Amino acid sequence: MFFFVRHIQSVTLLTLFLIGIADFNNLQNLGFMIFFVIYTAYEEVYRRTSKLLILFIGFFILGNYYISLNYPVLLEAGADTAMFKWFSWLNLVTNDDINDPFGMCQPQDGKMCVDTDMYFRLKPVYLNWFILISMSLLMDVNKMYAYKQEVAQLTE
Amino acid sequence: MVSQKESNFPVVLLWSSRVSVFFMSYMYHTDISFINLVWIIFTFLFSVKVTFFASILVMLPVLSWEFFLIYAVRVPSLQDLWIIQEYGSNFEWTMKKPVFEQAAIFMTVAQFFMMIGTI
Repeated sequence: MFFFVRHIQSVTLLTLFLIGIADFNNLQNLGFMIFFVIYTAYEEVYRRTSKLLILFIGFFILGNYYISLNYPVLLEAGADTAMFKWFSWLNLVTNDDINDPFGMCQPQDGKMCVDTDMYFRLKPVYLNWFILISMSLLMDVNKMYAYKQEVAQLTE
Repeated sequence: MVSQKESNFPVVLLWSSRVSVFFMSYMYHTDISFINLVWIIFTFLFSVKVTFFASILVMLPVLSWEFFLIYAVRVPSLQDLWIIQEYGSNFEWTMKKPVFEQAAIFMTVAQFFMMIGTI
């Protein structure tokens, strides 16, 4: 049990890596692959930098919200397919439709349609929130290993 | 008797605040909700004590300001105040369920005030 908890970050990151293996060409899945490789290889690096995982997943949550607020403005300013693909690669949009990238409403006549009712307009990406809470739990577990003498005694 | 500082109360308060702010952030899709969302991510990065201290300094005034304006904008006798005319326009949406929404905001602000007693 102690051994399992000590390496729980590898198990979690491997799970995320395997979930995203079907679609590798995006920042989120690439990031989890890199984190998995580095943190499995260098445990000490993980012990010191586990906050990076929270920042990493926080980027997608905040980015998604920020872009959803400003996407109509970006479109008016001349956002094009290339920019949409860039956002899509960054995992900041949730829909494949350039005119409705957040599923907020149905596009009309091929133009961007913005739902004027702001109530629950943007649906949270629950998977990201679940991963965020998981990463937070990982960090709490990580804190238990800050006391090296006790850990060494338990390992013997 | 276990004091609030020694009990699990701060952790429970932190999680209830996170849930309330999360709910508010997605209920109102606005720029201020984005600030609320940043706060949630912030809370996962630091200890409970640091989070509460920073929340009291930053988020408590922000949420109080938000609560005041959302409430005051809908009070007819306050419409002539310069503060409402200057800043109230961003909060003038028609509420779908006024009682429920005001209660949700009030509970969120109250939770942030409760943080003062825990640090």
